[in-house]
Amino acid sequence: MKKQPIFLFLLSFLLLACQPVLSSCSGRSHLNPSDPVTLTFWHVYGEQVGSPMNLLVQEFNETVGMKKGIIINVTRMSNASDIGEQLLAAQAEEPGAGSMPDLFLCYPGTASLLGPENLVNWSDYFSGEELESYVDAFLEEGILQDRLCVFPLCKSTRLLYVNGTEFDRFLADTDIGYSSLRTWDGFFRTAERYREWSGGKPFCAFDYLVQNVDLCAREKGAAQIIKNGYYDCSDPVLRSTWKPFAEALIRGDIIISDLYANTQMMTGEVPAGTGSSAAVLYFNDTVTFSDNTTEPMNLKVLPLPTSASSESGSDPLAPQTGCGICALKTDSKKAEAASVFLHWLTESERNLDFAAETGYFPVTEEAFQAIDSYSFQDPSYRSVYNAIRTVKNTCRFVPLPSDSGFIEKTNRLYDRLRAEQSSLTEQYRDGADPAVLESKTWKQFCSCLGSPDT
Amino acid sequence: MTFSSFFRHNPEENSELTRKRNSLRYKLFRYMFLLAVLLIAAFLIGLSVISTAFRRQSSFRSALQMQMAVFSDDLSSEFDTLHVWGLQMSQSVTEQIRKYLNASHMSFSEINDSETSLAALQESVFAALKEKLLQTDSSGVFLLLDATVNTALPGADSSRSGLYIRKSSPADSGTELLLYHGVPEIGKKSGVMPHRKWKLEFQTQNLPGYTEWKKSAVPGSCSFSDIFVLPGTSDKVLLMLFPLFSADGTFLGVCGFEMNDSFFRNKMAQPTTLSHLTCILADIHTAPEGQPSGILQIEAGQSMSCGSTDGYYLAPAGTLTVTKSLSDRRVLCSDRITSYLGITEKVKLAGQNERFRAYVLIPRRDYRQMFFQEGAEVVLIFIFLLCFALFCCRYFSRRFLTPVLNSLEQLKNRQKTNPEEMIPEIEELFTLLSEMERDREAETSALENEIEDARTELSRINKEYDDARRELSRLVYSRKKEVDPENYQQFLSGLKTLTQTEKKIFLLYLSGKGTKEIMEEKNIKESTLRYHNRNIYSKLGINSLKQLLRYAAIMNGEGSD
Repeated sequence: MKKQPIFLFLLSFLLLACQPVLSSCSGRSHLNPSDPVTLTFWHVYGEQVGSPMNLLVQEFNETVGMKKGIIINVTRMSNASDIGEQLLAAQAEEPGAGSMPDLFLCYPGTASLLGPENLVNWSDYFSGEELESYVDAFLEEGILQDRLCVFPLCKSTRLLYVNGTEFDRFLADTDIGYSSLRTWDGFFRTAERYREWSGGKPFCAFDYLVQNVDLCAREKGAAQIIKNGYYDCSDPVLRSTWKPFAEALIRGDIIISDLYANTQMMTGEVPAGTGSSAAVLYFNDTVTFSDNTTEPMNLKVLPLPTSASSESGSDPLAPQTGCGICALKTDSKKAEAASVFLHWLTESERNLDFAAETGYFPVTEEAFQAIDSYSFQDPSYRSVYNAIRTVKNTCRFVPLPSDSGFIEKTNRLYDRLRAEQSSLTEQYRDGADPAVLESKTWKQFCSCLGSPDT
Repeated sequence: MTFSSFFRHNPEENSELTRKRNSLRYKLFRYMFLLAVLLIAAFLIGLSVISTAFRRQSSFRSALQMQMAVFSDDLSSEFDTLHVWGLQMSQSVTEQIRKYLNASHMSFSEINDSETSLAALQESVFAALKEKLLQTDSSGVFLLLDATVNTALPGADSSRSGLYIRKSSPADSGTELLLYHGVPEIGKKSGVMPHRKWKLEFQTQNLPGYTEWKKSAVPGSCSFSDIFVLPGTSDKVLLMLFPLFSADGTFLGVCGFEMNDSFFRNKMAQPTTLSHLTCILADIHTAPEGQPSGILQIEAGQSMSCGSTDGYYLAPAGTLTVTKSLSDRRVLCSDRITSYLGITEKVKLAGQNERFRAYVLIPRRDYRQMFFQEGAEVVLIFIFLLCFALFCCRYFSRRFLTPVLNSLEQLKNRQKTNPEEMIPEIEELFTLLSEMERDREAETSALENEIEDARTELSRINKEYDDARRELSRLVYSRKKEVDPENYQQFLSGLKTLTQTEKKIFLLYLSGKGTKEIMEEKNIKESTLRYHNRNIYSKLGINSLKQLLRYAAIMNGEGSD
C-alpha cells in the first residue's frame, strides 16, 4: 500500500511517454492530417503540354489529400522511356540522378529491373473484391514474381493518325479509299501511291515500327518469336513480315519518326503517322508549312492495319501498352498514402474521365465498358475513341514485350534506321538492288534485337 | 589506543551522533533541503523546456526573415546573371544579323518573305542561342526577328519569324532541347526536335504587352514580360526581353530568356527547416490599381512559386489575397484553400525596383500547430511539476512522520525502543511528561492531606459551636429565672411603643455603643440623649442601662431558641 503513489506516478508518466508508440501500435491509420506525408511522383501524362494528371493531383491534394494528410508532389514529367532510365539511374545512385520517387509510372520490364521486392505489393492494399473490378488482363501484366507491383492506371493502344485534309486531296485524285488502310498490304500500296502522287513525300512516320512488325508477324501465325527480350531472327514468318516494312522504308514510302510522328504531321512532312492513342493530346489543329501557311489537320484516326485473315485463321491483334503505377517500398505510412491515392485515382468515373481526356482507355471493368457510350466534344478525340471502340470490338489486345532493356534496344534500331533511311532511299532511286538494301536493314534489326545466339 | 579506534569505540560519542542524526530538526532539515533541491531541479528543467518553447517563436520569426533574405538573394542573383548573359547575347546576335545582312547585301526589311534568308539567319544564330540556353539557368531562349516569312498572310503583322528553344524537362539538368518556334530542319540538324506544340513563327498577340514594349524599347535595356501561359502548354513563363537594334537604330527584334514555372520551382527551391514553405515571386506591375500598399491580390497566373528543396509546398490556388499587414514586413494571406503567414518585400531584379515582390509563406495551420504543441508542452510540464511536487511532499511528509508515529506507538505500547531509532525530542518529551506526572501525583497527595486536616478542624469547630450554643441556652435560661417576669413583660410590650429615634438609640445600645459614640453618631447633645434615655426607660419599665441590656439578651436568647 505504501508504494502505491509512487507506482501510480511512474505508471502515469510511463503512459504519457509511451503514448506515441502505443498509438502507432494500435492498428489504426498511420496518416495524420496535421502531419502530412509527401509522396514524390514521376508520371508520363502531359509531357511538354498541359497535364491532366497534374490537375488530378492538384484536386487530390486539395481534397482527400488535405483531409487525410497526403501530399502528392509531381517532380518529373517525361516519357516512359526517360523515366525508366532515370529510375534505374536513381536506384544505382548514379551522380546527378537524384533520389528515387515514392510513386512512379513505368513498364513492367523496368519494374523487374528495379526488383519486385523493392516495390509495394498492391495486393496488400486492395481487397479481392476491389481487384475483381479491374480488367483481369491489365492486372496480370503488372504481376511480377507473384506480386502485384505494377498497378494499371490506364492503357493505350497504337493507332494510325491521318491528316484528313491532305489525304482527302490524295483520295480525290486516286482510286484509293480509307478502307485501303485496313490491311498492311493496302497500307503499303497506299503509301507507295501517295509518294508517287506527292512527288516523293513519305506517307507515314512510324513511332514504334518494331511493334507493328511484331504484331503483324503474330497475326501471320508466328509463335515464340521473342524470348527474353530478343527476337528469333531465324523465324521465317518474322523475316517475311519485316520485308514489306523495310521495302517501304527503302522506297521512302514510310519513315521512322524523328521523335514523335505528330510533329512531322504538324510540319506537313508526312500526312500520316502511327503512334499511341494517347498522342492525340499532343496534336495541333493545323498543319504549318515552311511559308507559314496553314491548313486544318482534320485529324482522322484509324485502327492499325492488320495482317490477320481468315486464311491464317488468326484474330486481328492490337497492342496493349501503357505504364502502370508503382510505389517504392519504404514505410507503411507512405504505402498507405500511395494506396489511398491509387484508390482515388482509379475510381471508375474518375478513371473514365481521365482516360477520355488523354487518349487512354480505363482499367476498371465498369469504366472500360462505359467508354463505348462516352460522349466526346472534340472531333479529334471522337475520332480516336471511335478507333479504340473498333479495336476493342474487333481485336484481341496483346501486351507488348517489356523485358528489361527492350525499349533501349528498339530505340537503338530506330536511331540507326533514321540515320540511314535517306541514304537507303537515295541508293534505291539510284538503282541499287532493293533486296540487298532490305537485307541490310534486316541485319540492323537482328543486330539490335536478335538473340545473340543467332 | 589509536584515535580512530577510540572514536570507534567511544559509545557516548556515537550515541550523541546518532541522536543528532535522528533528531526531528535534523530530519526535517534534511528532507526539506532534499525537497527544495528536487523542486528547484524540476523547476529549472521545466523552465528550460518552456524557454526553449518560447525561443522557438522568436527563432521562427528569424527563420522567416532569413528565408526571405536567402530567397531574395537567390532571385536577384539568378536574374542579374541572366541580365548579364542576355546583354551579351543581344550584342552577339545583333552582330550576327549585321554580318549576315552585310554578306548578303540586304537591308533588314528585305528579309521579309524570304524563306531562305530567314532560315539562314536562324541557322547562323542557332548555335549561339543553344549555347546560351545550356550555359544559363533558364528554361528557354528565344530570338524574335521583326520580320515574317509571308507578309501576304492574314495576321502577318503579328506573325514574327525566329527561334524559340526550350529545355524538354526543366525538372532536371538534362540537355534535351525542343524547338518551339523556328524552322524544324535547323533544329533537327542540331538534334533539337520540334516541340509537340511547335509553330513556325511567333504570334506577338500571344506575348502580352509586346506592342507597347516595342514602342518604348531602347538599346541595351532589359525588360520583363508579364507572366503568361505559353500557348499549347500549361507552362507559365516569364520572359526577359533584350531589344535588338542595328547601328542606325532600326528595331531588329528581341532576344531573351524564358523562366517557366516548373524550372523556377526546381531552380529556386529553398533549403529550409520550415515545413511547407511557399516562396512566391509576384509581378505587382499587373496588380489592380488603387490597392493600398501592402494589401495585394496576387493572381496565381501572375506569380511563380517554389517550395523547399526537400518536399512539397502548397502552391497558391487561385487568387492569393494579402488580408493583413503586420509589423516587420509580416503579412497574413489566404487563397481559396489555405491561409498563410509570412514575410514580403520588394525585390530588385535586373535593375528593376518596383516590378516584383517576393513572399515567403508558411501555412497558418503549421504555425498554429507548432504553437499548440508548445502550449501542450508547457501544460504538460506544469502538470508534471505539480504532480512531482505533490509526490515529493507526500513522500517526505511520510518519511518524516512515520518514525515519529512509530516511536509514539512503541511508547504507547510500552515497547522497548532501539536507542538508535529513538528520536531524541520524543524521548525528551516523554521524560518531561513523566516528571510532570510525578509532580502532579505529589501535589495531589498533599492536597488530600490538607483536605483531611481541614475536615478534622471543621469537626472541632462544629463541636465548639455546639458547646457554645448549649452554654448560651443555659445562661439565658438561668437569667430568665433571675428577672421579674412582669418587668420583663413590660419591657417587651414597651418596645412596641418606642419612637423611631428611641428604637435607633435602643439598638445602638444593644450593639455595644457608649453614650459618646451614640451622641457623635446621632449628632445630638447629651441632654437630648438623656431625654431619650428617660423616655426609653420609662416606656420599658427599667431604670438602668444594665437592666436594659440584660432584658435585651434574654429577648435575643429566646429569639434564637
